[in-house]
Amino acid sequence: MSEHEYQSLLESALRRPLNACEEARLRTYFLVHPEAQENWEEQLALHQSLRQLPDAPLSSHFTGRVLAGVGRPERVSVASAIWAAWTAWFREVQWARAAAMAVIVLGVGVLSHRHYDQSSRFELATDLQAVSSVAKLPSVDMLKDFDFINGLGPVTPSADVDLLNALDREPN
Amino acid sequence: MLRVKRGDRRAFEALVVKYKQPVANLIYRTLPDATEAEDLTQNVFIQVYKSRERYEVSARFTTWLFTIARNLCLNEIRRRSRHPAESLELKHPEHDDQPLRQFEDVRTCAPPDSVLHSELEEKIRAALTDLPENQRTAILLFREDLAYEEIARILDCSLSATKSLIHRGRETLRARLKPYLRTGVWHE
Repeated sequence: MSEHEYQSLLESALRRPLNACEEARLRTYFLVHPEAQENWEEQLALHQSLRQLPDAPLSSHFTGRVLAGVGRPERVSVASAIWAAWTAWFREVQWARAAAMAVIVLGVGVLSHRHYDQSSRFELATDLQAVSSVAKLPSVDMLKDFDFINGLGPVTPSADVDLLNALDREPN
Repeated sequence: MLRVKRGDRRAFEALVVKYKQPVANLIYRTLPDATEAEDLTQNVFIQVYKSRERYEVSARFTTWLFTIARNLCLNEIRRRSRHPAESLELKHPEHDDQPLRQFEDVRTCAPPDSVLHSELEEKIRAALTDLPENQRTAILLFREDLAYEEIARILDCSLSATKSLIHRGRETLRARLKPYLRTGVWHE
């Protein structure tokens, strides 16, 4: 029997009585290693001494005190109750479900962002179109010239009438 | 424990009755003060009840229970190191011939043949107290017939490290208690 087997046998002896076969192997080992017998006896005596230590004193109403301790009504706020319910639910569901929920939430978020982005682009295009029509006006430098402004002349209703007449005459 | 998890208080009471002594023993050997040990044991079970939702069936109940007990002990040891208790030797501010606080000695008068036995118990208790915390806890859990695997989980270390802790602790105790272990009486 090796030293390792001896230690294994010692661990067994500390847990339960050895059987006849183990006892025989141990006796054989002691014949070869007489110094191990002293160690064996001391280990068993130590184990026995530890086992014989008296139990810690406990009052007779210990169990009642514990039950009274857990029986006190707990004042739980609404927020903590919601949080507790959420964490309890989260523990219950499987991770796959939690992951699926996360994907859905993420997808909705991405779609919302894209919709917002497209709306912003459409508004920008509309604004640019309005600005481009303003660009057809005479330049600011021209408008600074009094003579030029004066030369533009008044816009008369007859100009519109002439245009309508011209459109009426145009064949479809 | 599954019934306790569902809020069954009778099942919880049964758990307290079954495990109060092993838990109290572990705490009492770690913090050798009977009153504090009892209070801490009570806190262990209250903690068990309050955190019953977090109990997972994959772990054995005793592993979970003793892990809570050990953590509370460690917290108490840390608290004591930060706030050392005042000495009982302090004098009363008004009566110099009396100590600041007095406590009733609840020990019963033992007959003469028990005196030696008590002394031996005291030697073993002192030797245990002087061990490093993890060695002491490992030995005490081994004493409560917990498997090495369970002790390893409670101490949060490997199986081989746990066996090594127990071995080294036992060797220290054996060397210190050798006179008694060899003959059954002290030769000092």
